[in-house]
Amino acid sequence: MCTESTDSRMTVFLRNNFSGMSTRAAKELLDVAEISEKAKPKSLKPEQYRALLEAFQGERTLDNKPVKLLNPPTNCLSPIEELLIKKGLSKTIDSRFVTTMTRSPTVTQGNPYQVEVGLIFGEGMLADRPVEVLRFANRVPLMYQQGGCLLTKAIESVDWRQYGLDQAGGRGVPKGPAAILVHLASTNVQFTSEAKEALADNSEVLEETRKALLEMGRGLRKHLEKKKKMAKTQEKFELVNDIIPAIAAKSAQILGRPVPELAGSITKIMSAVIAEEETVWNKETKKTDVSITLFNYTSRARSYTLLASWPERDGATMENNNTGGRKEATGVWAWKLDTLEPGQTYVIKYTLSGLEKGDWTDTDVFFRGSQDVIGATKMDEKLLEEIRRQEAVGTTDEEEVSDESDDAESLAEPEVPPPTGQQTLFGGGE
Amino acid sequence: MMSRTHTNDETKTALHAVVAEMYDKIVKGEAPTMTLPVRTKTNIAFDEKLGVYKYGKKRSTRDATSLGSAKQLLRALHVVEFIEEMIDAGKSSTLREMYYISEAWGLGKFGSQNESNNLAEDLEVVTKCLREDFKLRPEEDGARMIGNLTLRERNRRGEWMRINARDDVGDSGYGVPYNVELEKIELLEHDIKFIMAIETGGMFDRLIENGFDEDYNCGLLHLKGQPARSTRRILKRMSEEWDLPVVVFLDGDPWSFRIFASIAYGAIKTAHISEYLATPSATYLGITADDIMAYDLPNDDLSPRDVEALKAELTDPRFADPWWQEQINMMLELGKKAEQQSLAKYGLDFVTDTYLPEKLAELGLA
Repeated sequence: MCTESTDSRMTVFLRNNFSGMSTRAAKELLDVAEISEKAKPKSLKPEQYRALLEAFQGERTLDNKPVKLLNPPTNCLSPIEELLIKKGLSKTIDSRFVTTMTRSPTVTQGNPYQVEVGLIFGEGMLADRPVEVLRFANRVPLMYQQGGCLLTKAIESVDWRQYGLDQAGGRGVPKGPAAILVHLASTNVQFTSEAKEALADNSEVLEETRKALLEMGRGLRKHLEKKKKMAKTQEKFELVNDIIPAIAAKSAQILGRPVPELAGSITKIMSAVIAEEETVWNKETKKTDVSITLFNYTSRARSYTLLASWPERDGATMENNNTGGRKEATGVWAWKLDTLEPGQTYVIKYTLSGLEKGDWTDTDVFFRGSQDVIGATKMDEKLLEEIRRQEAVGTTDEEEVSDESDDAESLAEPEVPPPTGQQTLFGGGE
Repeated sequence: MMSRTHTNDETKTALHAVVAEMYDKIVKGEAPTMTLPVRTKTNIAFDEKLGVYKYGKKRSTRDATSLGSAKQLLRALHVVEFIEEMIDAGKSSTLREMYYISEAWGLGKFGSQNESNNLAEDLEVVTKCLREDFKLRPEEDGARMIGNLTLRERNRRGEWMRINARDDVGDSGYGVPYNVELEKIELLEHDIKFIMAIETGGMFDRLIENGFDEDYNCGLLHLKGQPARSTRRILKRMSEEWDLPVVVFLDGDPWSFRIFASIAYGAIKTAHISEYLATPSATYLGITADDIMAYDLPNDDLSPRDVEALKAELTDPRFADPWWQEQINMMLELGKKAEQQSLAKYGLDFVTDTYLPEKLAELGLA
């Protein structure tokens, strides 16, 4: 690069040819490499090249510290992004629960990179087999050498047992009805060989991938816990709706006596308030139908405020909400319910439009009231406040962000080409 | 001779009491329940009057507050209804048939045959009736018997047949039917000094081939492992009605100890009818833990499961007497077990010429 450069001074050469190189950094680099700022790039000697390289790599130091360089821009990366991951996973494997996690872009060895992971869980996949691992590098699927790949190793390093998947000894690819997608987007993807079949080891990337998987795992655990709770509720319903009436009818028949009144027994057995939530995709209307039913199986009258999460941030609109209520915070709707007498039920129904299939499959139901509700979570008022606070800050946040980008621009050299598409950091230019 | 069966009306009344317990609870606005004795070794106690182990006073309540136990109650109701239908129609069915019939019971159908067997036992325990009263037959076949003893069996055409279990049978012996009650079998006469119950078919056949029953004037009974109810019942009847000593010849391992306990003291699962099934006068002949040493028998190491079983037996009230405690501890110390057929180490005739005569002499039977 130096020999072909027509620049007259090293400082100009550095600033023109390297990304994010400030005047300060260029001066410091040259200082550390013991090269004159005014030296002509063309006339540099081989030892000087080496010295400069050493300065870049932090082997030569200034006051015992490597020269500080700006991180390379990361907006040149091309992640798949959540929506596409979700759609892709749901298309290949028809199932209910999909979760994704996209980490913020970061830098390793001077190369920007970004990790994305996705997981699909549910029916249609074998529970006693290792999960399917879908590896991608810069949106290109990696088909071979799964075992020797960094992305696989990251999956293996996670103890999946705590997130609800089987894993012998907490090591290796977990087992379960799931598929895990891992995508590494980087300007310089390091492969193990020219065949580009597997990614080479890099402890930073591994750690970053691991973090993404852990975060995603928490989503899975939450989903499984909820499912377990729902199954329990379902059992109770079967108990009081089917089995108890059958016992009453059969015993009455055998003894030749009238079928007894059941309400008392049912209240006694359940002695709970139960909320049942159903979020389903309506094929005909192409909308998501949500219904929340509250049953009072206790011997006393109860009054509650029910709250439900909905994807307001994702641009959904709530329709046909005949039971009214009001907006509690962004993405949280609240209904103050009339008093529920023992044995009474209350149904809330609404439709969400502006969503695609699979975008919204789970509605979280919260409640405010003294008695616990099975199938709903007690509203954490602190959490709600936090959401409200974020909302209030939200607008100013955006301003701050734009301020920062202004600063960044003013710092950046005008010669730096605006990052577009995929571009390798060191490949651009001469 | 105690009569163990109930009349059809008694059976129905007892079953109705179970149903009424559930019905009344619903009327009271409570969860329906079924109360039954705890069926573990912690709840069996020696009954002085009967000389066997029976269930103690501990009761557990199965109530319909969980899906599993509610389904059990519903199944019990279906079974009661089914039994009543059989009683009225004069039919009977096997436990397996009942399991298949339950396919039509919708929510009350059984998940496995084990469930239906257990429920039949539950009902027996609660109502104090027997499964014969319920018109339910087991799948298991009874044991084989050989020796100079004569009995009368009423065959399926209702005719009484006189059978001598030595002269009228082949080498496989007389097959004991599932029902050995008075209405089916009468014990007529015998010319034997004692009865020997044997665990394995191989040993049973060895003794027959060697003519042991004739040389020692005894009846031989093949237990087929853990003996069926009818096997235990006929052993008990012969022992009582003919006043004969019973010796039990089993493998030398923890499971054989349990077989002996169920013959002599009553099984935990059937403790509600121990007085009909157990033969308290039965004696354990071998193979004892000291036989393994004394006869230097080929042996196997105790598996972890064996050791666990032995330790459980140490706290089992049926093995509380000093002789059993010593045997169990000795086996634990040795860490060895031996099969009956390991006696063949010294030749095919060793068991009939040496081992059994020596052991019987100790008991004063030979």
